[in-house]
Amino acid sequence: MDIHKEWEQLNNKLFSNQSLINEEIMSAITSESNSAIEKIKKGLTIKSYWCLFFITGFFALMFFNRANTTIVAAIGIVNLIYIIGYFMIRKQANKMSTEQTNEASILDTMKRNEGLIKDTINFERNFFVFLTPVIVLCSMVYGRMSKDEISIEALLADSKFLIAALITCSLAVPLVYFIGNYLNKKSFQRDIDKLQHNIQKLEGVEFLKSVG
Amino acid sequence: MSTEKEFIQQIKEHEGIIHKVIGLYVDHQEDRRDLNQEILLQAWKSYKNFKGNSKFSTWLYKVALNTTLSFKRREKPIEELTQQTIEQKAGVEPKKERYEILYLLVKQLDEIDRMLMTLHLDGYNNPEISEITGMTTNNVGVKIHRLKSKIVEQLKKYTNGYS
Repeated sequence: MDIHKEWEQLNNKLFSNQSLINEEIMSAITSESNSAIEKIKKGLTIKSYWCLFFITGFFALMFFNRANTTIVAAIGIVNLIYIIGYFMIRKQANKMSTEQTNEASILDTMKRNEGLIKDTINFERNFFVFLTPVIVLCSMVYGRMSKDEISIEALLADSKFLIAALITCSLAVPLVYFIGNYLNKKSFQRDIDKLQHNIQKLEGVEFLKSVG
Repeated sequence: MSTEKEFIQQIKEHEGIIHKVIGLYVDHQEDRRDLNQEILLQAWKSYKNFKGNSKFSTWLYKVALNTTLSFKRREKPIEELTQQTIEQKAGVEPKKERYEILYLLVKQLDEIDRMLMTLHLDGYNNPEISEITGMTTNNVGVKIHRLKSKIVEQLKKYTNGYS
């Protein structure tokens, strides 16, 4: 039995008709992508805009509190982190691309996509884990100093304040870590699992296992 | 000729590849429309990287398969083509043509095997399939040999008694 002949018949009967019209192609090439990587890129771009929004806000706060150098310094530290974060997020977003190169095989593309998704997930989680204690600490310093007339030296010598800061940080950091992991898993675990499964199949790992 | 016009012309000449890949991987009409758009969009975005080192059809196959394999389906149940379903479909009146049963049999393979079998049936040789997929040529050869034997055996079983 020649299955190639049957397949040719299938091609002629089912897949030879010219049904795509120019407008349909034009509208498709300007539409929004549904791929996981494009979605992550979009998410990163939105986050970078939020960073810009906060950076502007922090600059305004620094301006209004310019008389108090400690408050300016506290906000300045957070702002600096946001500025660094903004550039890192932009850099990461620019790496995200679904463009297929001429030479890349399906296996190469899948590996690249898996790497990009995992990299971004780890980058975002680590970034927020690092950012959390700094923000918590600076917010507490800012809150306390704008409420009471207290110097930074007195505040740092206040053991109650330091214990409160330590407890808040030690609760907030793991919380951010676990929430970040949970949300990432919820959004991308299926994509990653599917990619890993197909990569294994293409690499012949499962096949080699099956033949011993 | 502008890049857009050139792209549209090339796509229209090879649109059968897109329809075939979509038909083999997605069942729901709405998903098919979405995937069609996604493949065209990804092809357009990658078109600037197409240097003409390989045939346009080979390149389009890569883009279509890549996009399809990473296509995010909605949380809808996808009809699994089990042996029972194939037997039912093959047995209903009017009897299905042999090529239609072959289509069902290829569709019931898992994602990667389906891709290998489709490329093989479309006339790509093992080194070409290896280049497209990234699998080793030996692995491609062994897998295709096994898949083909299985498909032929099943096709004989379901089409027994008429031709």
